[in-house]
Amino acid sequence: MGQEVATEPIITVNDVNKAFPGKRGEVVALSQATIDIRPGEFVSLIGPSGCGKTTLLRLIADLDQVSSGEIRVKGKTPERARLDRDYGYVFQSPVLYEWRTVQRNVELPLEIMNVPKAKRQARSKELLQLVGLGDFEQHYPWQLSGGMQQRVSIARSLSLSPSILLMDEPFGALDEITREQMQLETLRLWQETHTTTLFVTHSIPEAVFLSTTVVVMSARPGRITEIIEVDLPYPRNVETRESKHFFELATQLREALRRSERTSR
Amino acid sequence: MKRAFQNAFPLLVVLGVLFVLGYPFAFLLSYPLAKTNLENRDRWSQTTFEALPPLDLSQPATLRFSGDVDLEQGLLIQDQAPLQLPYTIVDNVVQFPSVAESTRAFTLVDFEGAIDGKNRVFRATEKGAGRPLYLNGRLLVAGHETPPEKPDGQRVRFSFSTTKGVFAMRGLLLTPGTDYTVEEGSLVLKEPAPLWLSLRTEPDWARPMRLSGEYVWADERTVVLKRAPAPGSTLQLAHSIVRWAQRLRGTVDGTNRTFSLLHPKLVPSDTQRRVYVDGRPLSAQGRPPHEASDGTRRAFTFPTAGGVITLNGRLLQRGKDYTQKGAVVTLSKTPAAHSQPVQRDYAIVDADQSRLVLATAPVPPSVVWAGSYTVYDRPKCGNSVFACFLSLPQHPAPLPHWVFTKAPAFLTRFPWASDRNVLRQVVYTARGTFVALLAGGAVGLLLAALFVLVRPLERALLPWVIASQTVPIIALVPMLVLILANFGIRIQTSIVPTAIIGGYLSFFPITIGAAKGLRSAEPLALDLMRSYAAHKGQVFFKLRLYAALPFIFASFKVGAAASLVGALISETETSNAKGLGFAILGQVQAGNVADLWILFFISSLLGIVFVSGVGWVEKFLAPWMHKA
Repeated sequence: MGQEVATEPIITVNDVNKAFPGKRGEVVALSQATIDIRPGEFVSLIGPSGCGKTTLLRLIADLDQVSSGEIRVKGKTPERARLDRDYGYVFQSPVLYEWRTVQRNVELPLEIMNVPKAKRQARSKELLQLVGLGDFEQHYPWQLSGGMQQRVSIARSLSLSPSILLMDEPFGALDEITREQMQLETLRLWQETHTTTLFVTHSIPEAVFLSTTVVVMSARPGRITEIIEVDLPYPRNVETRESKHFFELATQLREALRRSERTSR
Repeated sequence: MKRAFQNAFPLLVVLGVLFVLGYPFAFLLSYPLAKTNLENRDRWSQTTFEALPPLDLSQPATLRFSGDVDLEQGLLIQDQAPLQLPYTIVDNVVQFPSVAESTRAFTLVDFEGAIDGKNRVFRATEKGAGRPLYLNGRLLVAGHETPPEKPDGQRVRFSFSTTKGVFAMRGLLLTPGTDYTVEEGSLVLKEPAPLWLSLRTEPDWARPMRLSGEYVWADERTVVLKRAPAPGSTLQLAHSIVRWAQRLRGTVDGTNRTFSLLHPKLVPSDTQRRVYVDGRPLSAQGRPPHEASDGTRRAFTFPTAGGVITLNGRLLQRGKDYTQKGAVVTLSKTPAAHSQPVQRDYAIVDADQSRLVLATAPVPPSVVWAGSYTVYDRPKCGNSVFACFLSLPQHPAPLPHWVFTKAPAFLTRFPWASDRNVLRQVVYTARGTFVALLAGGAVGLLLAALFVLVRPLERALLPWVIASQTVPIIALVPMLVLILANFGIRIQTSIVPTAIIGGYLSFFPITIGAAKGLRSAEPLALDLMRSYAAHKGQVFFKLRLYAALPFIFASFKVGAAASLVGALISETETSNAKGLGFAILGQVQAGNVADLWILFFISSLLGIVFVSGVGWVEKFLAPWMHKA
């Protein structure tokens, strides 16, 4: 866990509702969501499909606007935070620009910030080393596997050294083996960069393995039902997954999900 | 090698199938024509052969004639007699041993009239109508058009096929405005054309005439030129000129009397036929006897003691059918009343083979030759539709192999230096298409960018962009050429009209394609840009433009084809004389179907080259679009 002990939350979500206009009236995607996230935390949002996990992430990122309630990111409005480039966002799919090489994809945010070329290149090389793709700088995205593409996408989200990382089911499309490998990488990166991470998933082991805190959500309407602290010791590694406590936590989470499903009926 | 073959294989198969299908296709399209020809097998048309004047007198020791005739088949004549000067024929050109001798081969008479670059009317010092005319030693092409209306002393309106060009009447050059105006495609004279009794003579000098060739005789002595000769030119009337005449086939050995003309199917009733032995003309007309055939008379007195005798057009055999004593001929059988025994210089024994029998056998070294004669012609046609199809001189669709057998001659017909050289025309059209595509592409991309960046502009302008494509392009071209001509931009010298017309056709697909492309960026890709707070210009140049490239290249391929069509259309404007469009128009007007199909083929090839050219640029500029 992070070294600094900060008490002020870095993200606060206070009684946020979000409804989308639909064909038959409004569709409530998120209802009365309230959550505080402290700096350095790794928070997973877990729940069934349609529970508003992604919506919550997009609201925080100012990719959508709240219907009511308030979100503060580092004490600012989400829009201000976005304009200040306070966060990096990793989408469900890698969203790499196919006309750019791996390296230039990582450089994209730096280009937008008008960072000089030499600095850009140094930073992108460093990041690609970090995600273990040092040898693939000049490849085009379609020459890489799905896992490698998602790693490029993570490297890109880190290029501006954001204090917050928003990850929306980044490993959803990957096979189990790649997925577990990516989880290890993510954990390593989080420990190296101390970035506050908000991680959307619907995999119970993934949430338990990665998080300091797991937020359980229910569907229709999307709401937060439970918050579970994960006290697995660090460093977490392959053995962690096979430890007794891991299974206990996973069971606890599974039960919480089942409970939340019942309440939503 | 194997791979290249595999790539080309589908194309080869398609070409092969098209090639094979071309034969029934050609037959199908030609069927109506072949059938008409089969039905018209026995309908005849007339063609007249006349002794030819030389085309070019500018090199005194040599004479050039039309390339169509085989000089070996004839002889040079002057003043209705074989030329008494030595000459040789080298490569179908007549050469004299020296200039001094050659100048005796023709006498040229100058005209009265100032050659000042403006004057177009010249008077000959003697009757000249019908004689060849030379400007700076070059034979001028005669030709005029007369309207169907006859002058009746009151009529002022005459309709011509076109009202462009130069008009003349009764020895006068007509001046637009003062002498006539043009109304609704007709010539309207300020004063009625006078009724003239000798109207039947040709040419109808009292009628208004339009010059279709380079000059026209406005009366027996006055000639009107289409273009005023430049100062310093010499305009001459061939007073006495050598011509190329046909030599009759047949041996001259003192006993042979049978000769034949080069072209079969002689017209027996042709009174204009001119056949000569040396300088002596043989009359085409017969001489009737003094006495009429009354059913009892057998002896007839003819004007001369010579000649052959025909009865009702049939040649009679001397000794068998008749006996002759001096000018009196006694037939062995009494001819029926109103029969027509005629004495002739020669008789036609076989009109189909153009075979003649002379009254007296020419003695060596005499020459038997013809100055003019008329033959019948009819469609060359067999007994079946298919045979008629094969013998068609022009096919609506050519047999596929013609495209290849005729292509080499077609491609090399004009030298590279000539504007009519096909490769030069291809280069000209390609250049026009290229510039048009660049122009259309620039306009299209600009409009698309405006539409995407400023949404209200799209709603305001898109209807106009669509409307622009409904304007009939064929009407737009002449208008544009006229408007540009006001600014001194002429289609003969400038590529601007081609660029505008081609660009006009190509900007539309490029606008639509590029606008769609610029909107084609995926929502998540746009979200990514938003998450980095990129501004509008960055989103455009780093995302939208690249996402649009596949659409832009596809629309450029469509635009390239449209540019080519535009370039071809603009080249068909009549004042232009360059490019494939002009060549196609020319072949359409000349009715050269095989050449037309070769031009189609070349145009399509050019289109393919352009579209694949865009593909090459795409590969070069956007290599990521060609994955693996």
